[in-house]
Amino acid sequence: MTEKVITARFDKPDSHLLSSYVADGGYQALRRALGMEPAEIIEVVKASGLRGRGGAGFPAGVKWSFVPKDVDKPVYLCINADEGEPGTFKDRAIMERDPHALIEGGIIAARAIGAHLAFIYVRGEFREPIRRLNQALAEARQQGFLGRNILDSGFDLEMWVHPGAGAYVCGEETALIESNEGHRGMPRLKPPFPAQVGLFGGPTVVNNVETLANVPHIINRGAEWFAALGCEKNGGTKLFGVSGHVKHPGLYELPMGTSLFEIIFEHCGGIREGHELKAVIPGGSSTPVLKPDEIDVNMDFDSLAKAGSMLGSGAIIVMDETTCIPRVAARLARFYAHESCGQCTPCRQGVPWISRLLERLEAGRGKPGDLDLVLDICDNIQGNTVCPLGDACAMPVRAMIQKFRDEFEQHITQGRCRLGPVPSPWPERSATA
Amino acid sequence: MPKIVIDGEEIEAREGQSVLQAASEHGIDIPHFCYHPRLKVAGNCRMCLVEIEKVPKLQVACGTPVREGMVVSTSSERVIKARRAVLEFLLLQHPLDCPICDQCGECTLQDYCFRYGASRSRYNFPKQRFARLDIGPDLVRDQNRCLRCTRCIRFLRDVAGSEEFCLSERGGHAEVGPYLEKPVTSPFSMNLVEICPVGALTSKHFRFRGRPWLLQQVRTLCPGCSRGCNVIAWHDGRRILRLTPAVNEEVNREWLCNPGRLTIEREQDQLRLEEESPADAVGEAVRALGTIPGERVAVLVSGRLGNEDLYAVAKLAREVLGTRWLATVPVQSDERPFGPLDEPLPNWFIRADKTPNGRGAGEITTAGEHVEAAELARAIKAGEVSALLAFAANPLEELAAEELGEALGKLDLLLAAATHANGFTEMARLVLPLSGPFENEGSYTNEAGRVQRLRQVLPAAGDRRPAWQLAQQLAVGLGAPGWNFASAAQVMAELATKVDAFAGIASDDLGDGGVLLGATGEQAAVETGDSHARVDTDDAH
Repeated sequence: MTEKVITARFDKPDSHLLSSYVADGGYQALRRALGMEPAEIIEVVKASGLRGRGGAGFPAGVKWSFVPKDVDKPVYLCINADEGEPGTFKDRAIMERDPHALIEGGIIAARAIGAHLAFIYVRGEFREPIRRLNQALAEARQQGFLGRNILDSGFDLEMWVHPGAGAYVCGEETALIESNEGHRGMPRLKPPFPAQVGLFGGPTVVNNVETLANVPHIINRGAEWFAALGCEKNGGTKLFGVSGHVKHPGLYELPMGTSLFEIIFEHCGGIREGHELKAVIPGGSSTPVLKPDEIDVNMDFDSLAKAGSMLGSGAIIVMDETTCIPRVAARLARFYAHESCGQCTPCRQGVPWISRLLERLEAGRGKPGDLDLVLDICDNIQGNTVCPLGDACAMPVRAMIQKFRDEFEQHITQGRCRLGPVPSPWPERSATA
Repeated sequence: MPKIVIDGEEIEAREGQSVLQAASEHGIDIPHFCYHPRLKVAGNCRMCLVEIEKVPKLQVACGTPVREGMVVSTSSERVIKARRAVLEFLLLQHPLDCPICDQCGECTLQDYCFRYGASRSRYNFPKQRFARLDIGPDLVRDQNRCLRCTRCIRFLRDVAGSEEFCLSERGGHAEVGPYLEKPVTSPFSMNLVEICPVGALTSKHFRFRGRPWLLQQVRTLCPGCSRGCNVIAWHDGRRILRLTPAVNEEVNREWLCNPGRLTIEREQDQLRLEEESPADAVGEAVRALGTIPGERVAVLVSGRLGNEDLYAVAKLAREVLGTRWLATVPVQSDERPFGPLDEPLPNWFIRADKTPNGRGAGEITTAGEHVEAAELARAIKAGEVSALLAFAANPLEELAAEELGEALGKLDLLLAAATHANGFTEMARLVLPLSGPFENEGSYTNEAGRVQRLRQVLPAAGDRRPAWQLAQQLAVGLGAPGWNFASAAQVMAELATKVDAFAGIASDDLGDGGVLLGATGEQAAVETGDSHARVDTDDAH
């Protein structure tokens, strides 16, 4: 049985309340961190090998160390709780089940970077997490964990919830900052990077919820303990949200570097009865798909990168042989076309183009050459956009075409899907309507 | 001074510059849409992607600061592919009907497609079409042609100080236009016609009236107010069809307000005085003036006249008529500073004084015997003068004196030299038509004391003539010796020797930038032209 860190308290009654959290030793890390120099906190987090859980896997301590010292502008912490990557459902669980772990981690991070104002930017649809966060923040404020002179340390911090208004792109850190400022959620051109010029022009660190929820544990139990939980250069455990055609879908906390095969076939009980594995998306919808012969891969940032995919948010989407891959590709492209902010040319024009081509192909009206065209459009988008949203469409679509090209071609040559017609998501309309 | 290499050429860039700025200063053209040298960087069109050694992804040249030792390629295979891709993306939904687009010939997208694009589209879906939206009396917005480069949004917000445009909707549905579909109210909105790289924003006043490549351009001055904005007048040999801004860093940078652009409508409209009535009005004026003692003749001038006109008329009053009753109409004073243009004030650079040469009128009339306008009004009412000659001035309105009309009616002679009919030309016994600001050679002195060259765009029709010529005809008719000016430049030459403020100024030295009063000839000539390097496609505007 592997050690649970983030999810250890999830099943306790009233795990979201301060009393329960404190009874389990909550806010002890904060007391300890307030007695440490900010640079010391950063060193501990660096040594722990904690990498950003939002998808990019950037070392958290290093990110914190980028904030310039002695700036005349206020420093801000933005907590990215805009969990929007299709397939991902880990941050919501933390905010609902253990919001104080996030808040405590946030306070420690703010202390480390010298921020006195922190925002939790929460996806607008997350009504319940927003309610629980606000409740937890009120409790923390009342107990003196937030506000002026926290626990007599002389450190001040306020933390607010900022609900988003429903845009996937606001999970991108600079779009999140724009939206947090009250503007239209559009990614900013970099440089400057948020660590120099971020929220309201001040140096800003944007950290994912899961990343920060790990921080109190690192402070309490030490960097070495944390690093040892995971694998090389990937400290700690990781939350894996497994969905799709497995016997036991759900949220699993496992050490960094657990093999994908083990997750699917041991922890999740394997593929549903009578079916076989066809494809796995390992880290949320924007990560390149893996075929069954590729799942013997360790689920950490570096191993997956080597395998040509990404750990992303750790959202594992498992598909069995009943899945039409072109249909998946078309659906994903449609999602990204819908969520493109419209700012830059390749994403605004290219992603809807891919979407239309794939939808036409999936409907059996594809033309010879369409696949190469889609691949070329992917090529023309990837790397050429303001933010990674264009890549998020291009990467999975390219991987699906490359790995399941027969299936796409079969749609063109036979004009239909081998798996039968698409079930309509809409109720049947009568012929007279 | 970081040294960088662009396409194998080592150049010395300036600290803080972007790759694109450094390149264009050294004559290397990196194609771009959203970048504009006077606007904040957006980096959204992705047209200026370049390859930088040791940087894995292509970078936008407009948003990448130069670094010592940077090695940039603007023409590698990757860059060319990315550039063609951006053009292809932009053309997916863009109409391919250049021949019926008013931007044709001045369109950056058109130019770049010729230069860098593919000639065939790979897109075989119906094009997206946006609803028409009327955005006010001056502009036509065609969203179908829009590149979403957001130059218009940034110009209105950051430069003109009126945040009226925004990006609405998302992804491929993204639209650029006024908030809540309201009409645009900024008096600077027509700058968007030049700011917009394509035909998404065109001028309602110019649309479909002329093709730019068939028109001739003359650089001259806007007569709309005392700022003296430099303009290009575009004409077809018969009419001026539009005014666009010409660059003058000291005066208007490269902007021009809507009222300024529309001065051509008034200057060319039906109320313009075309012909003399009666047939020999000058002769009749001479005969009439011969019957009145010169010292009882009043002369009223205004800043609508050029420096040369003002000098000749003042000379007529002082030396030929020998009257002390010379006045200029009062100038509307403006409490806002004249410049700089960086902080948009209300109405930004439009000045309260609506005459182009109020400063010159003041300098020239006060350089010798004269009276204040109020004193002249008093004298008219008191019957101390017998005649009034008004040059480009309407005493009924501009002397701002009550019951003046009745007093004017009692004078022996009212002579109106004017470009347009007005209340005073109605009551004047003699009306002599003057040529207008687009028909005259000469100069204006703007509010800041900059003497700038006014150039003839089209010759004056009929008997319309500049005021300096009319003054000379009257002087010669009255038998005054020594009046033999052959051109405005000759008047200026004499003016420069007689009026101290104009000492050292000569018409030929004014150049495109003008010369400040009081500055000596050589230092004063200002470099204008494009001090910031621009690509030729922008220059076409």
